Amino acid sequence: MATLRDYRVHRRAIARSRLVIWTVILLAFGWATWGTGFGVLTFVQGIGGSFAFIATDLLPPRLEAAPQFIDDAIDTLLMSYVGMVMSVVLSLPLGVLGARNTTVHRLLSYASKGTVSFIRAAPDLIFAIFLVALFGIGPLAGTVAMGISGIGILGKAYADGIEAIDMQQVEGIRAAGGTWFQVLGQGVWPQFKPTFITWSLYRLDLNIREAAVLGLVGAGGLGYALITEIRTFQYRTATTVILMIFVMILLVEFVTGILRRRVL
Amino acid sequence: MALDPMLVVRGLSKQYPDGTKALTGIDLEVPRGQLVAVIGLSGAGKSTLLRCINRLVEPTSGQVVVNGRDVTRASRRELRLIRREIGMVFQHFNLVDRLPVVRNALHGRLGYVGSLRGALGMFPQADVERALDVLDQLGLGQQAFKRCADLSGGQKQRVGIARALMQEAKLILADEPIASLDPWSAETIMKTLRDVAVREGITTVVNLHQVEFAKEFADRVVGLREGVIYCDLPAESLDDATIQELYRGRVPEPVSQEY
Repeated sequence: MATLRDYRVHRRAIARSRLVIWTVILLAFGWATWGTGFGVLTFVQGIGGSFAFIATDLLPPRLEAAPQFIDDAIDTLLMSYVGMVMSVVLSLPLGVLGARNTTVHRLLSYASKGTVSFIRAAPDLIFAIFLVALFGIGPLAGTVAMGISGIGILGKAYADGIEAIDMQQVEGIRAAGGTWFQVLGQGVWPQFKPTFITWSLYRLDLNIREAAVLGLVGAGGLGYALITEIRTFQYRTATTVILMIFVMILLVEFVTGILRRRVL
Repeated sequence: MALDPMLVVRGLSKQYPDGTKALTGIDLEVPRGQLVAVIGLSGAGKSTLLRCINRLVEPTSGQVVVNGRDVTRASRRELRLIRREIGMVFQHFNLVDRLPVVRNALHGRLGYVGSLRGALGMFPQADVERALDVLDQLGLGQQAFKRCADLSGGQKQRVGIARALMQEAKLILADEPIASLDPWSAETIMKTLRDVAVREGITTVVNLHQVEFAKEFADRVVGLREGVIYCDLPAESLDDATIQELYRGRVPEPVSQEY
């Protein structure tokens, strides 16, 4: 039987491990602050400078320039959408084969999860840089970069989503004599569908944001328009582009939000 | 040929990877049209026995023959063909909750339609008509297009039986079909299983917790204890002494009165 003494020993062990955890967290924070030269003073001084730059150079935005970027905005939208579809198509088989409960073989599951992790490890900016070198400046490079890097997120989300389903429902199909495809289509898919829709639309949201950044390395769309204006010191026009990116992100989030509610 | 038994189990043993010996040397023969109740404590191996019959659980050794076909040696393809003749009814129903009732009943046809068509949920019109008919017979006519998630436990279990009937099952395995139901629904489900067995001549093996239900509805009662068959008799010869002996060992230990 456990005694009060055991209880005290048990409590002391917990206290000790907490002490270790907090020491590690604080030491790491101290090291990181020192290493990055982060100081409250420099930070506050910087804020002043930033505000001056924003007030004098960026504002007011040259709104009359907006129409000339409509094409770029549409490019960004299309890039994001095509990129999402590409990620979805490539991620589905990886997700199904990666999930322990639907894979055809354990080794294939490891291989599939490994591939996805590998892709996830590289930021999409890296893919974009390579692809711009391959395809040249323009939306194609950005689209493919988003398509590939999306696998890193969707492949994992899909596999996790499939692993989280109720296997009793799947067992019912299997017991009735269903083939692997039938088990997937009738037992797995209905349960996985909400996760699938949520994550795929979330990836579309992310792509709109990514598109703006990827433009900086020449991968087309509004991001490329933005960096062009900045390089030519047309800051007020750049502000217009930033506003457009902002509005588009909100718009897409709004629409995907409605879609999600309608479908689920 | 019609007189050979529907189900033959010979020397069936199952040991789980964690070392648990769930079944040891089970021999069982079930003639066509018989309704057998398998009773015993939780952990006695009832569920494992049922799942070894259609190989949802892979037996360690022994042989299972269903309708003259060796289940234990069947290839994956053969196994699917055997499984489509074995309807299974589960304690937790194992229906796809997000799909409508009629589709869940149609899942019983999966073994008969093409793989891709089945995966997409496209069934021949004749199957759909029969599914609606079967659901109607089981008193689920009004529920056909609701999601399974919206049904009561008793209704769900009837959908489970509808699925088995759609399979044109020759053998129904029911794993604790009434353990999650209120007594009133339990009664209905047992009656339904009984009716179906009698009307369609379907051989049925039912795992049960409740001895009373076993005595009332089964032709024959098989008692499992610690993975071996402890008794095997006609339902009417099951007496209290046998039941007590079968369930021995799980009587609560006397509480010590000393301080």
